[in-house]
Amino acid sequence: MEINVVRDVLEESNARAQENRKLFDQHGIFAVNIMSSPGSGKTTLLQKTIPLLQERRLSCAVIEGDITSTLDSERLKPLGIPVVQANTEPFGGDCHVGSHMVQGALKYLDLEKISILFIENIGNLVCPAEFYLGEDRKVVVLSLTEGEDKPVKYPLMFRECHLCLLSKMDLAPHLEVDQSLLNENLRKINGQLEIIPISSKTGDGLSLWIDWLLKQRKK
Amino acid sequence: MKVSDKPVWHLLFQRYCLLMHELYIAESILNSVLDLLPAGITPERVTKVHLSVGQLDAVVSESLIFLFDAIKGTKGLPHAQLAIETIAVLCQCKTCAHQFNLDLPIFICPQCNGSDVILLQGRGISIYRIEAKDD
Ligand SMILES: Nc1nc2c(ncn2[C@@H]2O[C@H](COP(=O)(O)OP(=O)(O)O)[C@@H](O)[C@H]2O)c(=O)[nH]1
Ligand SMILES: [Mg+2]
Ligand SMILES: [Zn+2]
Repeated sequence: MEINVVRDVLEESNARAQENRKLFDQHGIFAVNIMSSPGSGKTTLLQKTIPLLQERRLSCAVIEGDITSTLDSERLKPLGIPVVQANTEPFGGDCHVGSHMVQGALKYLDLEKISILFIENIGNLVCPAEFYLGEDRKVVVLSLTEGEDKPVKYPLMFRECHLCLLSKMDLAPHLEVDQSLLNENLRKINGQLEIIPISSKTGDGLSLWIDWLLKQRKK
Repeated sequence: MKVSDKPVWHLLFQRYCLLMHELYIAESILNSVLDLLPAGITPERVTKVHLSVGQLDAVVSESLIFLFDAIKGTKGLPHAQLAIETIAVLCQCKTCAHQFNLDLPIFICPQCNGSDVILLQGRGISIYRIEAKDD
């Protein structure tokens, strides 16, 4: 016998994401899902970004999803903001932060006190792109050392994101990156994608990134 | 994500799953099938699960089938086979309304060269048919 159905396999995952979304709305939280390959500079970016937001009296919190231990959480501790480690596998079994992990992490945060919530996803350009967490915006960090072809190799990630931060721009003089080819490849995948070149090391471009965040938050 | 506590899984996780959402998807498929089965049809009777997968979803069919087969027994669906149909990416240009399929991931309108292109098809994973043995 045949049973004809239509069932989105990620229905359960999306339902949890919608619950997260509801909480963000209830508490006026702007949530940003930050994704990249391992080592592109997500944690460093947060270390530099959060003080700039604190200067503007915006309270931040971070859900840290990066695998292997709580190293990234430790790096964020000096900022004096709430950081919750998402409950991922200690030996690195997870490939993405799931909406249920965000839901679990939200229980440890005083939502009323948060204006901007960053979710640092697991370093991986494939899996995290697939899953909606309830966030307002998706941001991909692509460092200059990763090669011009990455957008074309991981189309879903660059299709899904609203903003691409081109990181480690301070390294440009030492590399032979064809930046116009990189921009062209980004445009091929997503003509609506905004692109901001930054360096967390020198601080270049960070004010544009902050402006972007503040503008998107108002939308 | 935990499927079972057997040590072999930890090995599998570390060897293959660091970059694989397919395991999560395989588990979600099996849970959905259990949820969709009408009363009176036991899970053991399920012989085939038809799945459509958007080409943009970057699901590796071989991996998904491998993982599906590896865990289906633990979910009580030992005879279920997974059949995957890939849905090509279909786009529409917002500038000139032209519709086109993508062979390569290049979201540029072949008619007007515009890059404001929306996705009509080719994203999403759904179960569309379940086959079960008659009594
Ligand atoms: N030169 C340079 N190095 C950076 C920059 N941002 C991050 N890094 C370095 O890149 C490495 C990985 O950064 P991290 O923030 O841990 O990346 P994550 O894995 O994406 O969180 C670290 O050694 C950082 O110091 C940058 O803007 N310029
Ligand atoms: Mg990190
Ligand atoms: Zn067109």
